[in-house]
Amino acid sequence: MGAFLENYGAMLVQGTWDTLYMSFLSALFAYLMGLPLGVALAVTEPHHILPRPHVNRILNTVVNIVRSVPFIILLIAVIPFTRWLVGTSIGVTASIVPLVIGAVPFVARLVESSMKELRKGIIEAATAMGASPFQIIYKVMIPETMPSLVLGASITTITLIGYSAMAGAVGGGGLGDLAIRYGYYRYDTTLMMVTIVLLVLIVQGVQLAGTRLSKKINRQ
Amino acid sequence: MIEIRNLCKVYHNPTGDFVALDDVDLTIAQGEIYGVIGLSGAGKSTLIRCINMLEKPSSGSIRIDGEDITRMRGRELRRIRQSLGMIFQDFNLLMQKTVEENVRFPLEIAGGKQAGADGKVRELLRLVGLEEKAGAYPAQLSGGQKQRVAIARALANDPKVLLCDEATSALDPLTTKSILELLKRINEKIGVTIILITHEMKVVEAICDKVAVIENARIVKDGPTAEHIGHFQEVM
Ligand SMILES: Nc1ncnc2c1ncn2[C@@H]1O[C@H](COP(=O)(O)OP(=O)(O)OP(=O)(O)O)[C@@H](O)[C@H]1O
Ligand SMILES: [Mg+2]
Repeated sequence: MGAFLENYGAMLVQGTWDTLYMSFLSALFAYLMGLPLGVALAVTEPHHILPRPHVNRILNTVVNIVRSVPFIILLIAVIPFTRWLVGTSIGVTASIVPLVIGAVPFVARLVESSMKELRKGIIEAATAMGASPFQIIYKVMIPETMPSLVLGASITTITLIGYSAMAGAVGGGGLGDLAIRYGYYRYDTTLMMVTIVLLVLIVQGVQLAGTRLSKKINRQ
Repeated sequence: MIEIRNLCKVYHNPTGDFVALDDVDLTIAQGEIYGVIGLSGAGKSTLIRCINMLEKPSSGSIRIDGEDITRMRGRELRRIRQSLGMIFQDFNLLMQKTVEENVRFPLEIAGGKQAGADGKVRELLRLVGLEEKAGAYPAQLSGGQKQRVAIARALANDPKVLLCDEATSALDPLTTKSILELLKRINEKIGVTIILITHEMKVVEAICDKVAVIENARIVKDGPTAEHIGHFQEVM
């Protein structure tokens, strides 16, 4: 045990940090783009506050296209773009690019479905008060769906923890990279098990935190 | 103050067109409590929702103090909506906001001076008898209390008109009575015109000065409540 920690301790700490860094930062960026996109998907539907059938159809198509590309392929397909954007396609920071691209449409769908849980009458009441579409979005739709949005964010982060293992394996970095390099290529089963345990703990932690926070802020 | 002329509303369904309002004329004077009564599907909700353009009429005009709301769009429409309060059968309160925040909400929407907002909110909560519930969330309130919050909220911007779409239909008879008394008291105190739709005769009898009967998308009778009670009892 002591020898194991001496050999791999620093690497595991670094790997854990890299995994957290990749998944949380890409979740953050994915929300910066996915939240407006998800809201747009919801409000441009017929009978919503900004009905725009054509825009809605285009957004839906784009989201579906990106979502239908398997992540492992997306990972490789965006390498030129990643190189152009961050100067390199390897390393933890470079891995964030495909993670964000893969997560934006996922986030958009989660946000869209949170928005659709909101009772129509509440939006109607705000319209009747003379609220503008923009006011309805940021004073009604987002605050009223916050508990559901928080749950969605924890689902997104957990999905990204899984994806970051793949991204790390291609680009380098994170617990997934460790598991593949040592566990798979060098048959180091102990290290593989340890990384799995660490990933399980991280996922449990994120889920628990998300569920707790969502419950805590929900007044309904 | 409100003049509805030749109002028609046609819904275009995939299965064909449906006429929900057919050439409706109605004149409602300042300060009146005007009831619209009819059976389910008669077009009551459609009518009241046209008055604040939640539904866009197919043709006809609705003049509010001379201004035709059916011609308004965008900013102009939002401004006049601030002077038309509305309450609903299922309250439609913001569930993640306190009672106080709900009542303050229309003031925030209207923007401008926020200075008197606290006082205004307190005064409204006193009016509806919910001062001690200011910090509670709607989920912690009874149906009657929720409707009181909705009434306070609808009055926040000092509207000229209060539109009530089956405001008491989700409430028990005793709570209905107290909400109707509250509406009557508000009407007397601040002179707000109230348009109230319902399918219950006793609601009309309790507070309406005048009443119109709507049947199959048409107004078939209207006038002072007292003169018409007999007729309604036949129709309903
Ligand atoms: N959005 C819509 N699309 C199509 N038809 C509609 C729509 N809204 C209402 N209708 C139809 O218009 C008619 C009148 O509806 P409305 O809601 O005004 O009735 P109501 O008198 O309020 O009835 P209730 O007492 O049941 O609320 C109904 O037959 C209804 O099916
Ligand atoms: Mg109705």
